[in-house]
Amino acid sequence: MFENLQNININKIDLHNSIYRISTDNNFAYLTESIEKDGITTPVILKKEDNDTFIIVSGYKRIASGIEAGIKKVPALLVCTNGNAEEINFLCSKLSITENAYHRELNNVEIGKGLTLLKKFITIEEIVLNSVVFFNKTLNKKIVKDLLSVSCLDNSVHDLILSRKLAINTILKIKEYNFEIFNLFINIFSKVRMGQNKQLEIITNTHEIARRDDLDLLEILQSKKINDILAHENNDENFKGNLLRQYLKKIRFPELTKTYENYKNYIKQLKIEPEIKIDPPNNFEGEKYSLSFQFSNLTEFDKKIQKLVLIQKNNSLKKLFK
Amino acid sequence: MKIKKLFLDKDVIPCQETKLIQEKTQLDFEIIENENQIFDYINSADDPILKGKSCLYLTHNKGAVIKDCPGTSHYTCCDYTILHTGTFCTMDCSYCILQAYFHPPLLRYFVGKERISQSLDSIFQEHKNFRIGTGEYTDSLIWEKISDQPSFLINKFAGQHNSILELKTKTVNIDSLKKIDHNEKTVISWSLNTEAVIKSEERDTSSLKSRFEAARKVESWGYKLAFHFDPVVIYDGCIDEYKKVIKTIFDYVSPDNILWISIGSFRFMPHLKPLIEKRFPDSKICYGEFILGLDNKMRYFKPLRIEVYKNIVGQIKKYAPQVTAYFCMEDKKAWEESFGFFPEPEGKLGKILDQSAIEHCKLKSFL
Repeated sequence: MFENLQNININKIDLHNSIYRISTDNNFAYLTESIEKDGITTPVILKKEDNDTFIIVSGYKRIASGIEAGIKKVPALLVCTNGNAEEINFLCSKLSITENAYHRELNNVEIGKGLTLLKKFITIEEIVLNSVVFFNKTLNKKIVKDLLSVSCLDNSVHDLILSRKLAINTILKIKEYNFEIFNLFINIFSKVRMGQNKQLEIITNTHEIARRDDLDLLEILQSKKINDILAHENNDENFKGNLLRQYLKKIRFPELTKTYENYKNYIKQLKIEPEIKIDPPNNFEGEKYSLSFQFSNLTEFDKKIQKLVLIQKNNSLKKLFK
Repeated sequence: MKIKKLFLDKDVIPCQETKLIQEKTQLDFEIIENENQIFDYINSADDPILKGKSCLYLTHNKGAVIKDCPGTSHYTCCDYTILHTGTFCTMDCSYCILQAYFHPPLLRYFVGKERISQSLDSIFQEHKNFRIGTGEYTDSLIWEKISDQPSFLINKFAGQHNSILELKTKTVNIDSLKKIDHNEKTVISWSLNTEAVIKSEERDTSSLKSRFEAARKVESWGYKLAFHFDPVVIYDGCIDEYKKVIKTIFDYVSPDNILWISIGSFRFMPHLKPLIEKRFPDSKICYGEFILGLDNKMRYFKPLRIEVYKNIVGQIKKYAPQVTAYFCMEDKKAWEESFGFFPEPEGKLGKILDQSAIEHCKLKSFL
């Protein structure tokens, strides 16, 4: 598999070739510090090219850090290049994945990159069957397909995944649309922060508003209202996300939203203190309202009951049940 | 949808009913040892649901012949009884739950009149009134042109006094019903909808006009009638269109011959939605204001349902105050706001419908 351990001149290594790179971590300051102190203690893996240069199979960060630290040579294991070229490339792919996967848990983007490397040589079924060997974890067919599909996307999308602003299922959903719409959704999700379910809710509601009202999805996504929300002076991404959800929900479910708003207004008119809650039936479908309040002793309990008696006499309470 | 392939369960090959259907369809058949053979055949298609509509499987009913309508919790059921004569349907309605109900959906025709006959005999001996229908898991008259099952059932019901048979359909397959001595124990009923809904959501069904014409014909042959507005679909202008359909009913038939008119708004199990979106890309039926109901089905937001109901019920009362109208699976509020009452206690709705059946079909009353 390997030739002898050698010290290779860094200037012989093609630093631009990142064919086997799967790591997404670009922060290597801590590594530079360590290399300055102790040098590179774990050999990198290199593959010799025809023109007497080397490409990196594993150790991109170590080499970059080594350059920062000012070292001239790196200890390297050289992949044996005698034999079938495809088999050697397959070996390099496996090495690049396992070298990472057996040191730490790979994130989804890294697994996707690893899968893309393997897919050139073996089938999805074979990957699934050997996923523990390659990735140090079990992957099923759906995950493999999903991550492969995400892997081919732009780095900016990968960055959003890594910063937890974009869920894999969200990407798979918006990939069903054309490039322009895909990018508009990406733009939206890059500016708000919310979990996967809420992202999917935004996509579904937008899609269904367009279908219901015979509108172009593009038109909705580029609308002034959505742009205003994204450019809101309050820069809190959670706040913007909630505004966007509320806006779309109001258009998608106008009557339901109106009923909830009226309900909230009546509750406001009742001037109930925050510790007392009156909740309507879920979606106003059932018949039962619920009342809850908190108290820590009998005196507080008595006070709350007295407040409830006052609420009972308030006319807004009657409106609540209309 | 035209049947292109016939599958025969090896056990039904000797049956006369099988021979009749083979003869009428003139189709080559494949003998089936194991149902999985058909499932594989259907599941290999891009659209297994559509494929399932193109092949007919003649087999015995290996389960119960007579079942209670499943209903659902929290909403009022009419206590209907189902005669299980087959599954699935040749027509292709976007909203049809049968698409998601059978795995995979397969057109089964249950051969075996003897077993049906025996099951019905026990029902007919009970001191209770029954409303029995075949239109729950299939359309009651899709096989009328190739099978004598409808006439067998009509004759069977003609000879008893505690039950009515309801044949519920969207077809106009009624020719063989003409000369049967039904003794007024069979009700032919049609699912109705607005022209717009029929056009956009009900592939391969009969037109509204032809349903009305068929209703008029069977009425002239002495049959009693029923109509079902289910699913009521809410869209801009739907109220006027439903009102128009209701008015038209009475242009064609007499309210005195109508046992009941049922009303139920579109509701669906959540997993039906992606199926509709995939199979009916032009349909907008899923994009109403649906909420998750208490029975875990999606339903229109209640005030919207009630608004449409009030108008439909009002129109029925305007043209035919004597006709029994009712909701299929609705709650107390919907009943009270639309009809002004709620059939309480549980079972009351069934009794109201039994009463209508007794009066119209000269049943012996066991109420």
